[in-house]
Parts: sequence; structure tokens; C-alpha cells
Amino acid sequence: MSAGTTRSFLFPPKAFLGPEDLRRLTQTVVFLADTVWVPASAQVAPALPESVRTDIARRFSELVEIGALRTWDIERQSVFISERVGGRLLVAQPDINFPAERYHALHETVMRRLIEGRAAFLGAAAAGSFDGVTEIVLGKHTLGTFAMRELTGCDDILLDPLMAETVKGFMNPLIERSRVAEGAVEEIQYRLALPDVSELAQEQIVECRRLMPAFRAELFEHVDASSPLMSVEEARRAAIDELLARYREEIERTGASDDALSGGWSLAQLAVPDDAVDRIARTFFGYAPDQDQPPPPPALLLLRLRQLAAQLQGRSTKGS
Amino acid sequence: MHVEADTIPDAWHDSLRAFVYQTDLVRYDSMRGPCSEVQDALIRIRRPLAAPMISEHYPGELRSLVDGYAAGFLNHPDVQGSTVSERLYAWGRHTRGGAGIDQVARAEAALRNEPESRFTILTFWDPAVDPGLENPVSPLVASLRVRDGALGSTLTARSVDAWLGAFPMLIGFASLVGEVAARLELEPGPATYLFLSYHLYDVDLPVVRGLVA
Repeated sequence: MSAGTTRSFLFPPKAFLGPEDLRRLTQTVVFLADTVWVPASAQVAPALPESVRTDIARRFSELVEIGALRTWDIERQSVFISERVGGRLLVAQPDINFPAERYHALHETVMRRLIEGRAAFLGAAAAGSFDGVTEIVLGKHTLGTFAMRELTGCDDILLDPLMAETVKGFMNPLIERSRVAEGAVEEIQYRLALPDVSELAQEQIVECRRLMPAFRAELFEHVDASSPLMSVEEARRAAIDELLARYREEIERTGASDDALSGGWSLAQLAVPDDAVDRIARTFFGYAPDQDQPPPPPALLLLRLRQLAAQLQGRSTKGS
Repeated sequence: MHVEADTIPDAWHDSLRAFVYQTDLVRYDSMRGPCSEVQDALIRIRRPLAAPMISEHYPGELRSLVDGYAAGFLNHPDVQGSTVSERLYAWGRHTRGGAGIDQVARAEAALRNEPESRFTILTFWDPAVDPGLENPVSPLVASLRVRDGALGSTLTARSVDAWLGAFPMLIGFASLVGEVAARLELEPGPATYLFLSYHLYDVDLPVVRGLVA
């Protein structure tokens, strides 16, 4: 996958969004996706405190504004639902509104596949005891999500752990690939003490997204290179090792200080000097973010996030 | 929601109208996807065994699902592992050992001895087992009693998917009542269903809108 390739993810249908959903969405648009498609019917979870609800709605709007999130609808179902159950929609107009006829054909296919794959959905439950319908309903949700991916033309699905478990028995290689990639991002964030990207300002997210394609291309290159005999966990581990090795190489080449990979580091030591990212970019890679130049090196996104982590840490220390 | 209809397909169709025309639905994120929910939906069917039992609008592919689920109510030999079947015909086999209690046989004996009794109860939910299950049984409790010479019945279920799960539940229980009535040489009477959560998933809503409108 070249750095110039675009990539879109489908966020599986949900009625309500909470802070964890926004964290995952933001993480995905910073590290992996040019666009994440979200159902236009989604609302902010009503049980949350008002301040949290406001923050979620604001962040959602910001991500829509920069084109990172887009919304889909079917025959303006979002309006239909909100008129019957109340609540406030996050977007007034969806980016795309599919006609019902097109959806009906897809729904028929889902029902057909559901019965064809019935044994797989009953799965291990059949060995013990099973209700016989509830398992199939879970399968319907899974297949329905696959159908929406097809309708929206997304490359991947942003699986939550439950759905990942559900599709395990008949895992589509495409989904497996996304799980490896998302898992690798989570682990790298932890290993490098990167900030929670959902706390970044809108302009910082925009900046990171300019650096994202090169990082993502390298990540998927490693994911694709993993042996089909590897488990998801083994493939994830291999991709992380490769990415961190490259990161370390580039740190060494540029002479930037980073103790995180050799242990014994503290948050204060994580700070890449303020001008380091620009210096590394301009001096060593000939890349200037504002110019139409060759793409940045993959590790530049991680370096920039390390710098932002240090700034966030400094701000919170000053505030305390 | 309170639906009263002659046949199962009519009742199902009327029940779907709630999701299109009712404005007091509850929005809910189930682990099986986002849905709109009617709480405590009451459906009464005057002739539950009248043919056809399945609506022509119900996807043909799903009919095998209905047959499979109904077989659990009837203790069909092919349904080994069905929780419904185990609870009805071998209650407590896993928790108490032995063959378990055949609740249907006991109910038939009770109805022969005292047809109008209000004690003829079939229970499905097992508090020792179900709260820990990933997919606990949906029917909770049923009542059978003879009134005006016919076998009346009520089933309470905790959760029913209005699109995919309604026919398996409606037909499964009606078939059981039909078999019991035949063995007791009674006419089957009306069947009443109380669904604590009757819901329609977003994935099915566009199709239901088209069907009801």
C-alpha cells in the first residue's frame, strides 16, 4: 500500500456514542483512516453528564468539519428514528443517503447468508445449550455491518471486541488485517506513551492526519507481510516490532533523544525538543509539511505525537 | 402496544406498525445492534393455529429458523441442545441431575385432573443458570388453562426481535399448545403473548417501513 492510497473505515451502527467511541474514532482518523463512516442516526448517549455530552458533540462536529468523519443514512432513517424516540442528531444532513430500494436488495442477501451460515453463528453454543434465535440475531448484526461496509464502499470495519469475537469463526481476512492494525496502534500508543489523541486540539489532529498516510502505509505493509499462519496476536506483535525498530533507527539517525525504548524513562524525558520535528523533517528527510514535497517518513507521526505528549504533560504539570 | 388479531401473520403485521407510527419508542444499544424498543408488548391471537401461520412477507429463507425453533417447543428429536426443549421436557437435568422434569407431561396430567386450575405453569427461566449465559433463553413462563371448553394460553418472553424472532416465538408456542390440546381432545383457544422487550433493529427498519407503509 503506497502512502498516497486513501483508506476508509466503517464504524459499526450504534444508537449512542460515548467517550470511548470518540476516543476510538479519533485514534482511527489520526493513525489509520482518511475517513470513518458513522451512521447519521447516532446520538450522544443521553445518560452522560451534560458537560461530557457537549464535549462529545463538539469533537464529533470538529472531526466532521475536517472531513475525518462522514455520515451515512438510509432513506433519512435518522430523522425517522429521532422523531419517534426523541434526542438530537449530531448532523443535520448525512453525507450520503442511500435509497431504500438499494438497501432492500442488500437486506435480502443478508437474510440469505444468515441462514446459509446458521451453523457458524450457532457455533460452540450448539455443543451445549442454545436458544436458537438470539445467536442468529447476533449474526444478523454482524452481517448487517458487513453489508453496510459494502454499501459505503469502506475498506475496513472498526470492530469492537464483541463483534470481533462474533466474527472469529468465519473471519474475513480483511477484518483480521484491521484488527492487527488497530491492535498495533493501541500497543504503540502505550509503549511510546503517546497522548490520548482524543484530547488533541482540532488543528493538531489535522496536522497529525497529514503525517498519517506514510505511517499507515508502513503499518499495513508489515501487517500484509505477516505469515497467514500467524495468529492475530503474533501478527500484531511482529508489526509492532517492525514499526518500533524503524522508529528507533530514525531516532538514532536524527540524533534525537529518546529513552523510552531502552527503559528507565520518565515522562519528562519523553520530550522531543520543540523544533525537533521540523528539524528532522527538513534536514534529514527533505520534507516540509506545507509544501508539495515527497511524503514524510513514517515515524514522523509518532515523533510529532511524542512532542505533543510532552507539551500536554508540561501543561498539566504547570496546572497542578 | 396492544395488538389483537385473528391470526399470527395479522398480529405480526399489526405489531410492526408500532415501529412506524408509535412515537414513544425507546432507543437502545443492544449487543446485537441499535434498536427501537416497545416495552411490555401485548399480543393476543384469537386463532393461533389458523393457516397460513407465516406471513408471505416474512423472508422465505428464514422459515427453516422458525421450524427449528418450534421444534424445541415440541421436543423434536432433532433439536438436541435447544434450551427451550430442555427446560420444557427435562427441567433441571443439568443442575439437579437425572432425567429432569417433563413439565409438559405434568401440565397435561394437571389439565386432565383440573382443567380450570390456575396452577398449570410451565417455566423456562432458571435463575441458577441463565443470568450467567451469553444467550439465555427468551421465553420465561407460560400458563395453560381451559376456559369455555378451549385451551387458552399465555406466554411471557423477555426479549423478541420483531423482524426475525417473532414468528419462531409465536408459532413455536402456538404449536405446543396445539399439540397439548390435541392430546387432551380440546379445542385450542386464544393465545396471549407478553414480550417484555419487543424491538426492531435498525438493520431491519428500512424493510419494515416499506412493508407497513
